[in-house]
Amino acid sequence: MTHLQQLKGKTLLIVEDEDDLREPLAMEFESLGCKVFEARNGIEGFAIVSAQHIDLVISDIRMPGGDGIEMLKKIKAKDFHVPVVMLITGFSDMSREETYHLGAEAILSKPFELDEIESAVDRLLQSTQVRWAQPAPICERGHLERAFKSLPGAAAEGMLGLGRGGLFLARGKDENTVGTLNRLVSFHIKFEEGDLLLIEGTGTVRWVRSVDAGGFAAGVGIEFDTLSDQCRNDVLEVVRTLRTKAYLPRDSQNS
Amino acid sequence: MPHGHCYLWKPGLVWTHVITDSLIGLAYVAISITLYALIRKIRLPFSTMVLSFGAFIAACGVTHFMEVWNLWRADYWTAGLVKSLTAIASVATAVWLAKLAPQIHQVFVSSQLSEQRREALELANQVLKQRTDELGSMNLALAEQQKLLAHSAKMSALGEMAGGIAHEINSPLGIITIRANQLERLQARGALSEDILAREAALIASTAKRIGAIIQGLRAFAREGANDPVETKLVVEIVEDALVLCQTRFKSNDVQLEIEAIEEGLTLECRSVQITQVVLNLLANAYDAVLPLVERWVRLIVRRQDEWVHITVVDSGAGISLEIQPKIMQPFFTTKALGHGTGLGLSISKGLVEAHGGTLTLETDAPNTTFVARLPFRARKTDGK
Repeated sequence: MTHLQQLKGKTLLIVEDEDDLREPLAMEFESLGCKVFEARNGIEGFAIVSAQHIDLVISDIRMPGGDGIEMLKKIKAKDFHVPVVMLITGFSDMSREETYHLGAEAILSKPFELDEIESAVDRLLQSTQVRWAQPAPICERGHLERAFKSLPGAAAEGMLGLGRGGLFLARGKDENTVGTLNRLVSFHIKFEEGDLLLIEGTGTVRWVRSVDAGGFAAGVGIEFDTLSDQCRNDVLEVVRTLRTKAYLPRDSQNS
Repeated sequence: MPHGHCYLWKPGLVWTHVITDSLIGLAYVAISITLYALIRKIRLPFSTMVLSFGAFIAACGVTHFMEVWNLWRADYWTAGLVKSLTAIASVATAVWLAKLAPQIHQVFVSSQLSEQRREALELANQVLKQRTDELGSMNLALAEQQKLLAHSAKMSALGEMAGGIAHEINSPLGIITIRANQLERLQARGALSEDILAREAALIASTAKRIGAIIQGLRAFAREGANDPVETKLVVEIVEDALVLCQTRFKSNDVQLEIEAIEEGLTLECRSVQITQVVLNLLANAYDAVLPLVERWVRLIVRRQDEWVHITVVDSGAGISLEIQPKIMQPFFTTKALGHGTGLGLSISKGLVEAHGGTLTLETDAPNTTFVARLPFRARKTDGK
């Protein structure tokens, strides 16, 4: 498995109450060269994160004796750069957008395949700098085109929110090209002024809010897969200065 | 001188008088005997009056017999005596009748009134019958509505549970998928030993069984169960069917679920799908009630008491306030937030328990919130609803 280059030598924490799932996952990641810590609930898990250097956390969302969301919040409060992969079971108490907003880098829905979780973990162990520089696979994509006065202006209008791993885009005329979960998209967002003049690249739709709900405008959460050479460094710099926990903000107010 | 002389012993005249007087006398006596018999048999109004009337008629009859007698014999003194007696009876009856007349009139009027009343009653009865028919068909429509409501409540309960059920099914599916992936990889590397294969296959099978049990539990929602035959079922199995749908929810949210050991072999004659629904409803209500509390536990106790099986659900809540106690079993009453409860769960459960000849009650003197479903150990004849 030559494509899983990041895993070797990394330290993972797997938090899952089902022994029959946690044990084979640990076994497989160990066979790929990872050091793996295991925990049965969020409280045990956070104790390990506090005591050890952990490169990435994989955690179930609901567990007896300390759930995954509480642990996610605590981990992100401590150091939001540690990637967390949340395992959900389809119908979760916590919505996808909320989970991404709290800082989770990936959500995997049970049942998932070993290949899926391994490639998701491998990808997240790469820095965004490297990850976003990779060539985008050529495939059919929906396209999003936007033009704003500036990034803060777009945010103030509630049209756009930037997170550590992607962005929130309020619904536009092109909504039908991006309307589904996991849809691959390309985007071209221009700003007239400011530190950031362009966000251009490819991404994946990670959540869809088809109507205004709970005080949030309708729109989509898009994770960046690649960013063009013209904008990548600027985006990285803006994200760095944003110091936001949200991986994909749920609206334009990304706190 | 016999009276026949007055008729000059003309045979035609004599016999005319003999026959007519005899017939009149006989008829009078017959009438009074009939009257007497009537009074003996039925309670006539003014019976003494009738009796006196009878005596007077009988006396009249005897005077006619005397007429016949005196055609040939001249016992006029005896005839005079008989006539005197008849006169007394007649006068007495006449006076009495005159005195009674207003009363008789009264009776007649009231009998007329009661006839009118009878007619009015008959009419009212007809109207009532019509109303009863109307009510009957309204009742049928209502029963149909209730059935629909019960169904939609069940569906909405299912919707509320969908997240929980998805969790219960997707978790074991996740295990099966990862284990199967592992087997594929081992096989591809040529590292799949028979030991590993046997162990993993057994684990996959038992995990699949977990999913099967959940689907089995879902039967309680798949159909109404009202037309199921009454069967003898182990109480443990009924409880298990309910638990499989909710125990992970309890576990994942740190609500302690204690199941007191159920008497071995304890059975219940029932429509088990319905009783599973009741148990699940009581557990789900308890779960919802304790979720916001600091101390969170729910206890399920099943005990046999003589001819009854008591299924008791106690939770760590401190009971139900006096003011809402009378309402909790009413349809549509709910304390849950909008969109989180239909308010039909308890009322439907109560209906199901009562259809089994049992009762569903809130123990008002218990320190913690306690619901008891009391079911007859042996099924009772019910209408199957």
